[in-house]
Amino acid sequence: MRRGKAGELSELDLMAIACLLPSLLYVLVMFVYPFLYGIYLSIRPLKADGFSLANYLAFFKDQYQYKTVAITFRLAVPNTIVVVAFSLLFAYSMRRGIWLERAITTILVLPISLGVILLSQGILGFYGGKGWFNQMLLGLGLLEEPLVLTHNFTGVMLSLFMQQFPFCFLMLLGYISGIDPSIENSARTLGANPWTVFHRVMLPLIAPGLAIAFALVFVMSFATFPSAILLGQPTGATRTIAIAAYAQAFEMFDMPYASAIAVIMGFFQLAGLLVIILLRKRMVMAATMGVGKR
Amino acid sequence: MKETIDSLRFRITKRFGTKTVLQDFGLEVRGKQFITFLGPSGCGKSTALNIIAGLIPATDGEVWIDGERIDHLPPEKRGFGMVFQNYALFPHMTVFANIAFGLQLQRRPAAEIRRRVQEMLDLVQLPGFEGRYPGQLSGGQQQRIAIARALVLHPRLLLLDEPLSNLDAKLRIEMRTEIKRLHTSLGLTSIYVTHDQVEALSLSDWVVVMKDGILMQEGPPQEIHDQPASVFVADFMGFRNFFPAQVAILGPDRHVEVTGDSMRIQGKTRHIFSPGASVVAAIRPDDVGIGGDAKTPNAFRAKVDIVEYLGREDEAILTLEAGRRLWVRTSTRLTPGEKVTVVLPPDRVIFLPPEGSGGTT
Repeated sequence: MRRGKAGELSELDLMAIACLLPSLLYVLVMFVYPFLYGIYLSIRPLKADGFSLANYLAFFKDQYQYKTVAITFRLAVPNTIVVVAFSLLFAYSMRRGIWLERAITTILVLPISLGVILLSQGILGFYGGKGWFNQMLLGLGLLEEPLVLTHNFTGVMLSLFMQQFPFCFLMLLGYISGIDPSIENSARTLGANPWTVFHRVMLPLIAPGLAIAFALVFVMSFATFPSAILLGQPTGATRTIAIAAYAQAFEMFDMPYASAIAVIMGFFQLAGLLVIILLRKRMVMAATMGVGKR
Repeated sequence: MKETIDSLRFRITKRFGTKTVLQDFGLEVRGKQFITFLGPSGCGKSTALNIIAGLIPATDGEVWIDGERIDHLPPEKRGFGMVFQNYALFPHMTVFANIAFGLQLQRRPAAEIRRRVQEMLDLVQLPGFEGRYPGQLSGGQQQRIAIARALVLHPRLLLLDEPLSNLDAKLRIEMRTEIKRLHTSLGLTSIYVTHDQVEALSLSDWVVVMKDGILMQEGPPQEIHDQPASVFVADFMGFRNFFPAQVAILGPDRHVEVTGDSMRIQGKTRHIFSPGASVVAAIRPDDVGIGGDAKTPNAFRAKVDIVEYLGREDEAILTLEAGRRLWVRTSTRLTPGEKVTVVLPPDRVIFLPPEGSGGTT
């Protein structure tokens, strides 16, 4: 649509700005200001006057701290891949509706509504050393010793999976079932078997939704905090970067250092998103250009 | 794979839960034909086409081609081409890649693929469109590409599922001619699904009229058009005027005279009725004559109620003296309120068994 001359605001523009104002204000107050304040705090270390990058240097000099980045990646990356892969599998096979769809969807989605704490308690009870899961395997004689599934890496993975799978599954189900079924039908009549339909036709169409799913699950996993404390070893194997920031802020009372860790965490999350976006571009390109090559 | 078929035979029943969508819907055709499944929405015509394509499993029944039973085959093994109402092009692929898709799956050499895609683009009159994406094409162009994509594989049977319903009126006529041209020049066997009787009549060698999953009538277009076997088919074929009546006189040579609502209508019947039987007399709006002597047979006095100007002709709703409404299409200019004599030419009136009487051809 043509608007008024450059530099001139039409009535429509003013109206749009007025409508956007409340949400803009909200974003400014609730996000932009705290974010900028956090950055500001992080470069005003407690021990020095004025601005300095001392907090950042301290983080990367201290093995106990910088190892948290590696730990967080080790949790977040496999978890993201597993969650998205399972969600894709379920959502793709349910795209045209299945028997008892509503009941199955409800069961799959239920964990979302329970909250992390209750879920974690449940996992502790069920998968713990004396939990039903181990008791059953021991009782069946499949095990000699109970499996250690909680208060370690596995426990955190289990918890993250159960929290994020429903969310990711629902998102992908919505995305995939929105694709016109006649597109895959036409591919079938042109000689494509179900697998070819999936990887030549459907996957490229799902790719944008898949990228969003990867991005959101990754960011959520990377920021994991309650699961890592309740089901992991918050001082050792699952000391994620969020725990490190929390410890600095509320155990060491060094807010600027905690802010610096939070900024570092944000940086790695952004880096993760960037990788996902680049991968998505390559994937779509490959699907479109893969024509004629084998 | 053979590029044309000699015979197609099927008989299918489809139920979704307790709802029967197709009841023993069957057909047998020989040679290269253009077959149309014609019916209102929900009559099961698209379901039937999808079952033949293998995209929906039938509840019961068989599909045979050239003596080979194919209903157990997945769609990709049937060697049919299919064109969809919403084009169903792959949005992430160029026009070239869309048309080449099936050939690539057959692992044809690149040079052959290029040549055949090129030929197809020429055939559908869109040369030079290789690099475009479906989103950059108009609806008509997309449908041409979809047809090219199906035809490039030389399908032994071409299935078209309401391919023109998403196009505007002018384009629809253009594409209709185009489809007819392709069908004739390539010597294909095609099944075409539509709810539009003009499309069905103009394209087909054989029309199959369906209602509620049941085959109502089949035959060449002229026969369906001139001699509908039931009130439903007649209504679908443009007989707007129906007069329930009883058989009064049965003369020689299939001459019949019926009475109903104090009107006497005579003509010739193709159906065999007994005296006193309930019948429905029907006539098309464009077959009603205006003016003449009110004393001749099949002439009635009527008052003009509504006139719609349609250019060359008017469409008018009249009320007969007997109280019934009469739709008329005529080049005689009428004015609302005017009293006229209408004639229902005896050779234009058809007599049908009443709806629900189970009458057949």
